[in-house]
Amino acid sequence: MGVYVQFYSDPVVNLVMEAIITDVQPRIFGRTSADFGEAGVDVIIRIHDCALLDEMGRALFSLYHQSHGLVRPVIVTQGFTSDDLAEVERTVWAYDWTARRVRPLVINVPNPERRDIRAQLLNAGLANCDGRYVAFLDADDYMYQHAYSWLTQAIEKKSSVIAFADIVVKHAGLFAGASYVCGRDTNIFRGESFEQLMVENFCPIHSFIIDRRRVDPVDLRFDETLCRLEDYDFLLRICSRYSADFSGRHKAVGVYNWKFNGSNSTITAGDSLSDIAAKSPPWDEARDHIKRLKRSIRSHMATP
Amino acid sequence: MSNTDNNSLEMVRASGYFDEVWYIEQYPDVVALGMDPVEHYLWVGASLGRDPSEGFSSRGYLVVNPDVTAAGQNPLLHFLNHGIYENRIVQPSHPGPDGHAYNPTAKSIGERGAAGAENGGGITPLDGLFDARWYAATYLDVASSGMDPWQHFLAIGKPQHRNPNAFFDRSWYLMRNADVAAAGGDPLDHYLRCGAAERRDPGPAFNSRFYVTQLGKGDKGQANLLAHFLSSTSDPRLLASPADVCADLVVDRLGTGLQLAPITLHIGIVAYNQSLDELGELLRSCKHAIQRAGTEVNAALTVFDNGNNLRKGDLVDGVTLLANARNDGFGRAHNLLMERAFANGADAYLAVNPDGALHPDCIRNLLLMNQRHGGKALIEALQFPEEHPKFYHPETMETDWISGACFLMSREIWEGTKGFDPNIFLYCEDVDLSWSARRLGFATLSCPTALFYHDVSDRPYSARTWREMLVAGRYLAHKWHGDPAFTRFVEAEAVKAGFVKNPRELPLLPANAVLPDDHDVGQWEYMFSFTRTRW
Repeated sequence: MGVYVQFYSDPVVNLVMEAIITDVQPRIFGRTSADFGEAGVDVIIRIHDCALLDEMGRALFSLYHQSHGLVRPVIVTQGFTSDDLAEVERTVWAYDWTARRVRPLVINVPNPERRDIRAQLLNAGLANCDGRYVAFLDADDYMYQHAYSWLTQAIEKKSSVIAFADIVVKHAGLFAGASYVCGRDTNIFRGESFEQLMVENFCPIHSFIIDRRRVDPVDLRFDETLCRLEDYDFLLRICSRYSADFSGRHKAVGVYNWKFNGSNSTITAGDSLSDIAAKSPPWDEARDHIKRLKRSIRSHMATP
Repeated sequence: MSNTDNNSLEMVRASGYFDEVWYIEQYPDVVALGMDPVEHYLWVGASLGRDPSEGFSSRGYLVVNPDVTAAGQNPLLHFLNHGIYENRIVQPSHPGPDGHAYNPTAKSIGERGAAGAENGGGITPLDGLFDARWYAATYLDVASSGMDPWQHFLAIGKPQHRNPNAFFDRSWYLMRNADVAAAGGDPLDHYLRCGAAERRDPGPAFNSRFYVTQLGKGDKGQANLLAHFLSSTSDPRLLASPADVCADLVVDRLGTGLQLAPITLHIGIVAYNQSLDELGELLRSCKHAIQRAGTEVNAALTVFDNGNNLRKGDLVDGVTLLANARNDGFGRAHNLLMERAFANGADAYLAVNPDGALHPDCIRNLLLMNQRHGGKALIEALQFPEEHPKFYHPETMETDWISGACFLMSREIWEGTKGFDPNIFLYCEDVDLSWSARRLGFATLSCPTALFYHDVSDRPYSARTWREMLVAGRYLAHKWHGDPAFTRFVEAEAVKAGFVKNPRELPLLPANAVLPDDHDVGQWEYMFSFTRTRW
């Protein structure tokens, strides 16, 4: 399938990788693209390493089969080469998105200094969203079939800005391209209110959806000074300013893979001492930032 | 008493391999004789096949070391003087009906795989965490000290914060467990006291969560998994950590590196009142996966309509539609499709549930694995996003049974099994087919690179499903000499759920279905999982 790619150097400039749509006219999914702005879900997937493409393929597999039907992957890559992007393209177009009448986006954010720019990646994705709703997904995780149907219904039911659900944890490793799950845990992420969110983050980045129409675009950005806990910072800011619905926290909508091999940014089983040492300082800095933010939120909440 | 005798007595006493309290409890006649337990063991006990402690089997040592037997030497003395330095195997005492038995299948740790390759026998004290051979081989001053490794560890190694085995890493444990470091306690003591029970990992080379997946139901509750691993003598395939998984072996077993050979594949789908949307989605995924499998694959696609409400125009082009006036069940319908497929020249048959979709590379990866195993394995695709929790080995991909949701069957297996048991209407027919294949010597494998989208995570409880499961499970137990407790459970559940008032109202069990009791398949203690599970 033919594609063309435009690279950009300014993260606020929209960039596009558009697929040339074939003349396939799916009989079942006969929606128009205009529907997307009304009810579509943009799912921003950030990926920093081509080695995760097999796993991202699974994430896309889960998005392709969403019962919601109007789900578009927005893939944001970190400093990928043209060869890398060709691999991304192959992974994306292993699925016939024309049958879904959505065109996945691939956005490459240059990273010549090879820094951890995870917040910039998310912002680049947000800057290119067209759908009414936006959600996030790490490349090595995936969603259940009912995820976005359920979350969009939840958000509409209470006219909230953000709605949360639960996420199942799997303890998984990848061996020569073969994933092996050795454990599955539910009720890992406990909490059901903003007050509890102020204590700790119990909401993985793929456990919620946001109605973009109800949020000031200024607030819909991640803090690019953070390379850890950027999602916690984002959630605290959004939930302190807008209506948040935690009532769906009992409902599992996706899977969070906790890796044996330490490729999660959290410290996990199997990490070497050097892994742990490398992971610790960014966490310390981010925790200090979150403490300051929480103090600020509390002081505003206390102000009549 | 000679000096030699005195030296032997002291050596045994100090070795850590002699437990006086245990010995007296095991052999109360020692007290009646008024003898010192160590003297008794050296002069009498060993020749009677008695063991000096739970950690050392005298008979086991002699059986695997016939030179010691031939020389008429005391097994423990030989081990302490020679065997420990010659990597000879020590087995724990296993009480049996004739006093003390031994385990002839014992393997040295070194035989368990890459992670244990540098380790050997000699596991005894420290609740099973002390590996004498590893300790002596790692800390070279042990040999020059002339001390027994265990005594050396107690006197020198532990105060110097040395590790007791290849898998416990004190520094790592402290780094990973900030609470232990903050409390200032000894990491090994902490691990023994509570860390192991809390499923904390002892070091980077041992992953408790991974290890426990490989254990049977009875062993999953082990308080100390590392001790279990070090002392386990039954299964050399047990892996300590994901790092032990040999990627080359995985690639080989999956057939990943092979060039796909030409093959004729028939895909069979048994539908029953499926929506056209759902069926259309599946058929498109099949066509897409066929296309991506490459030109070597000559494929045919057939839908068997058990609901008899599909019309040819309902399906995408190139799909054959067969219909049945009545619903004869899942297995019978697939049998008809298989018979037709193999009569028409198929090399392999892919059975696919109607309520899912193939991953674009599902067919290719199943065929590669089938090719690698020469058509001698029933191979299942893993269901996604929730796979069945039943165990499969991460290296060999062997599993006790394969799911019928999406699986590949070769002509050879069809000719051996003739497909599903027609007596089973729905459910458990895949377990039965798998056991039949294994009984004939075929393998049953999971293919983790072949995914079948089959999300049932949002489906509600169905009484009909449960009823069919109970009926099928009861038949399975009847056919395969199942545990009577399983049958009682199934019948009680059928009554409890209100399906029948009395178990006698359940379907009759045909006497001619019972197989000869010549197999070792079926693990009934896991109920409807029929095998150990990973979670």
